[in-house]
Amino acid sequence: MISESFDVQDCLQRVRAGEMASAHALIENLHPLVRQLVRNHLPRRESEEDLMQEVFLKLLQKLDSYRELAGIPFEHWVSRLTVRTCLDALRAEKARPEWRMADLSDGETEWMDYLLNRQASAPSEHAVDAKAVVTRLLAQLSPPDRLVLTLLDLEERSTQEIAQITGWTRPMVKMRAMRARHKLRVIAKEWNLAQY
Amino acid sequence: MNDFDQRWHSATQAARCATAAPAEMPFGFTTRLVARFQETPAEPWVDLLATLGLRAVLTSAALFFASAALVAWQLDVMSLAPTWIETPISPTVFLP
Repeated sequence: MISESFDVQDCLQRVRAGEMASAHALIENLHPLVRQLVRNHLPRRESEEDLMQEVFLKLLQKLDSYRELAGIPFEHWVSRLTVRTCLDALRAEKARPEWRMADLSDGETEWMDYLLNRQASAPSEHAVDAKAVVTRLLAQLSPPDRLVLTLLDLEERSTQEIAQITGWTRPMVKMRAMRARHKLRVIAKEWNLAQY
Repeated sequence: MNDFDQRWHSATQAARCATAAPAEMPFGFTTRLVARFQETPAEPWVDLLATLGLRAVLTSAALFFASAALVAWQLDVMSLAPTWIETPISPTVFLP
């Protein structure tokens, strides 16, 4: 996601040497990557900009601890730091949001009905509503469960990538994803029962 | 894959098609950030904790308590030792 013309290692050396113009350049180049991750793992009551600022602040403070390893790009280190910061923010959010059928738009209700097996075919042309329902359901899970399903199902990352980002082992990622989907199924069914 | 999982897969597939809001950098974001970075001192103990990890910290805490317990036990034995020697087994025992 960082442009190929941008020399990351050279920029990092300059930032370490205290050159603030390079820090500006680094932030500008990493911004799309960090923003996308923060957007996908944003806690309900947190501002996107505040969390992004926290990520970049940590990144600049921990830059000395980053070591270039063969075959592992700088983006992986940044992704890991971003995801961990988001996970901490999600953990700090104590209460899970509560919602009822009345809170859903028509399109969201269609998707919820589809997920709960009351309609045979998937609603068409409602990507925004699908995203809203998926986000609402994911918000009911614990932060690590939410994280693993977002990375796996929404960001389409491989279990290998998720293991690198989170620091978990691959079997742990698979196990957690399986359990998270099971919990999601239970939550959706309980929610459905509570509505009728 | 069961029925719910298939439907969940379709929902996430549709959700991925939702266009996100434009990713423009907020005005003055980098300037504010760099200024905050320059005025925020690095906290070495936080870095140390992050580097060592929670497991290492717990292990060292366990070792600390184990060694403290050992020292306390040894002190107890040393203070009891003279008592065993000096106190007679029974005051009524007479030697021939």
